[in-house]
Amino acid sequence: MTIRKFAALAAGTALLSMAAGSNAVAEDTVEVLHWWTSGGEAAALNVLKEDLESKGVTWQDMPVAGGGGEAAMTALRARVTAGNAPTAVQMLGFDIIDWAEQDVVANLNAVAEEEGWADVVPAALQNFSKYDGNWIASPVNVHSTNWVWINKAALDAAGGKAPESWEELVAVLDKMKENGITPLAHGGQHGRTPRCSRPSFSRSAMISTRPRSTISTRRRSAPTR
Amino acid sequence: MKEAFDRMAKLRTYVDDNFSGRDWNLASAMVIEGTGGMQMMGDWAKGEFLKAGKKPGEDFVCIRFPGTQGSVTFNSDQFVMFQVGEDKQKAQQMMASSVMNPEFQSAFNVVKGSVPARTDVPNEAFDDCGKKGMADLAEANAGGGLFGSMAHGHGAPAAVKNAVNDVVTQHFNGELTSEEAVEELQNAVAAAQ
Repeated sequence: MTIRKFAALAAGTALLSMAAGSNAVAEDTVEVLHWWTSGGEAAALNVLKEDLESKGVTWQDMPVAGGGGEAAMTALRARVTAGNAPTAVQMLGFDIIDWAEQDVVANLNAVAEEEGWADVVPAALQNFSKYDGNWIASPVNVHSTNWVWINKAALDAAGGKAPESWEELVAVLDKMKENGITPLAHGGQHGRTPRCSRPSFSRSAMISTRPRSTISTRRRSAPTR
Repeated sequence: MKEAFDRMAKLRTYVDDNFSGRDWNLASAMVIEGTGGMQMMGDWAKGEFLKAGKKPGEDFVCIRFPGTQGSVTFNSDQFVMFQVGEDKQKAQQMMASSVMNPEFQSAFNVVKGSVPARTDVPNEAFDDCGKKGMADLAEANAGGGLFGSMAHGHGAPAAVKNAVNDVVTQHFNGELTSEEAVEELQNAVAAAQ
């Protein structure tokens, strides 16, 4: 590097930090893109907003409802393309990895290490909160899908014992059928059926062969190649 | 694998004729009213029961799909932080920290029906199903039984997910035998990768 280039760079850096300093004094702001717009969800998110505002951080809300996040991803694409990404974006699963691969996400290693996130966040979640070894996201929650919701009176009429095996499940379902109700209440929207089958499906397709871990390893190793 | 499809075909025999096109929350309503016995659905179904004034343990029972106690299939909402100007980075780090605050994780998830992403959050504020969800998550995490949900983009990239969805849906609708479905699944996943 020539001395002239170095001097120019140093001057530029000084200007940049001065500018950043004055802005930081003026206002700390987060702009948050999310689709938690229904009553209960909005109330839940408000807890976060109030916590930040009590620390002097202004919350700029960017709600994009609809489509389980698809509309939000479209809005995000436009902002990132314009070079003006929001501060934080609600996101799920492999979408996170897709954005991380484009080198547009921030690095949270300092705060994550200071607060010991690695010790309290399950490793399976960290697969989505970290990319290439760096923290890029704060996980909010865990929804889980392998639940069965049973009407208590209907269960009592079918013997009263919650099934613990496939055979016990079939026995309860048969009994409910005899009792004249629809044993399995099911919706047939596209994309819902695999969830219904997942518990047995996942045991053979995912738990033993684990396509996910092989896939994510392959995808992760790509950027370092 | 074939057994998984055989079991799904068996489950199909317990579904009524009007299931096609029904929203999941209407299936929850059937269980709430007692015209349906049970529903296999993620923890967001609990909100429907609670809204109808039903109590866990008294009016409805929550269990893991029989045979999967110890395993949890999950999806996780996260706040991904994007690269922003230097003037916004301090606030961004503060927000990242606030999301991870145990008090926020408890308050938010009590309302949302999910459980905290941290495994060290006190469970006092949660109902019985929420407490079970938290204990199950910790158990699955410790025992290597925590797996991303295929249906929510946590099990595989979108192309693979869609390929699996198509085969499973076709089989559920009786268009494929279990043997055919096993072969189709392998072909479809290989083609999507």
